[in-house]
Amino acid sequence: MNWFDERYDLSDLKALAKKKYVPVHRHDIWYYTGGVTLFLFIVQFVTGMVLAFYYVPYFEQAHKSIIEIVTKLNMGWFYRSLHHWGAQFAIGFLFIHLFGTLLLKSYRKPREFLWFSGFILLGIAIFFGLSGYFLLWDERAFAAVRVATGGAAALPVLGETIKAFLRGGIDVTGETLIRFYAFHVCVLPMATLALFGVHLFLVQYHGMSVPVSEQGKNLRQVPFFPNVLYKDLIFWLIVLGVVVTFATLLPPEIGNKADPLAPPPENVKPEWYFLFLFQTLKLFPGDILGLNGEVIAVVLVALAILFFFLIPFFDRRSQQDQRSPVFTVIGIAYLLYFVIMTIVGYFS
Amino acid sequence: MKRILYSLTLFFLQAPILWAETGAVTKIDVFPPIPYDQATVYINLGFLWAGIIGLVILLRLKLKELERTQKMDREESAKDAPLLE
Repeated sequence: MNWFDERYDLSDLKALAKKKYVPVHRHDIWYYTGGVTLFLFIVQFVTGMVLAFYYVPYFEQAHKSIIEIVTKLNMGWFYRSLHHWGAQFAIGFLFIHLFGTLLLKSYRKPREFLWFSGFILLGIAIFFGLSGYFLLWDERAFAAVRVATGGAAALPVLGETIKAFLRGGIDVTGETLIRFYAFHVCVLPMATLALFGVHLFLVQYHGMSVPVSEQGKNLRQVPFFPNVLYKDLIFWLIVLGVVVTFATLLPPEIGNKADPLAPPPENVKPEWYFLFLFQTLKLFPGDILGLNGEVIAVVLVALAILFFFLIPFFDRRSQQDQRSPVFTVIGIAYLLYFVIMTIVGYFS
Repeated sequence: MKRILYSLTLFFLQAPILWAETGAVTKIDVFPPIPYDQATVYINLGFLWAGIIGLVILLRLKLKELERTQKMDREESAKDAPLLE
């Protein structure tokens, strides 16, 4: 018995870990997307902490401090690039995990809260992306945040309040930078940790979800420790290699310092995960039957997202462990819309 | 007069340069610019991939061995299971 064991009895926890089994079936690859997302968030926390030592969250120094991180700090360019590409991959895997959960109907009873917590985590990750992008304080980030926070104002009733809260004033200024920094390094990480805790606890509590098509079959079960953990490690290592390769070969550029009084640069586009929204807003004319087209677009998008969020309550057949092809079609439609609009937005 | 003309000429010569500078995108090196440093980075990337591939192979072997022993245990316990008559 060692020093630690004399003080803490972890035999119950060890017994619990030994009891955790994971079913093996033809869709079990989707189980690993959640683990990869968790790993990428850990990468983001570590690289973010390193960058936070050197970043100056004040509008006059923010851009300069990033240039210094990249050009003067030993390996600074690499940490910044890894943080950038880690964010892209984390959000990408979150979307993959979300659509996998949607198409396998893993949100069905009793896992509704797993879906809700995961969905909110995706929202947080997107806000992480937007706030982190703004910390660059370059003209593209400035224009993107002005558009994004301006779009929030189109929401009825609370829109203007949300916009003012996000901007910390009427327009995007240095106050917005401080606010976004606080969100990025304090509010959002705390919320992420809390929700991750809830999400992981619920995964342990309910166990792994088995798709309707695989239910009733005599599925082989493998222990999580160590079988699934080894497979998780293999995925994590490969993803780490890919992210590091992207970070090394394609380090993100630094644009010109933002000038709040200058007009926005031409053909400014948001990050890829906002492109489908950006493209959707472009589809709507400025005026529809005397009503503001932007308001109608934002309300319709908000309703579509709300329906997506509440899908466990609408999909009654899945709740009874029955196949629900209508919701599979809806899920595929959402996925295709997201992919096609992102591609159109990227090349337009 | 000569001085004014001289100043104006200089002003018009300088103005387009200043104007071009304000609109131009300043290229900042986001990757080590020195070839020696670049080579070091690429070599280290190669080492990283070699390490990753090595670890993946080790984990795969370990996993196969685990699955083999677990299968043996299953078969063994199934053989020892008491028969209900």
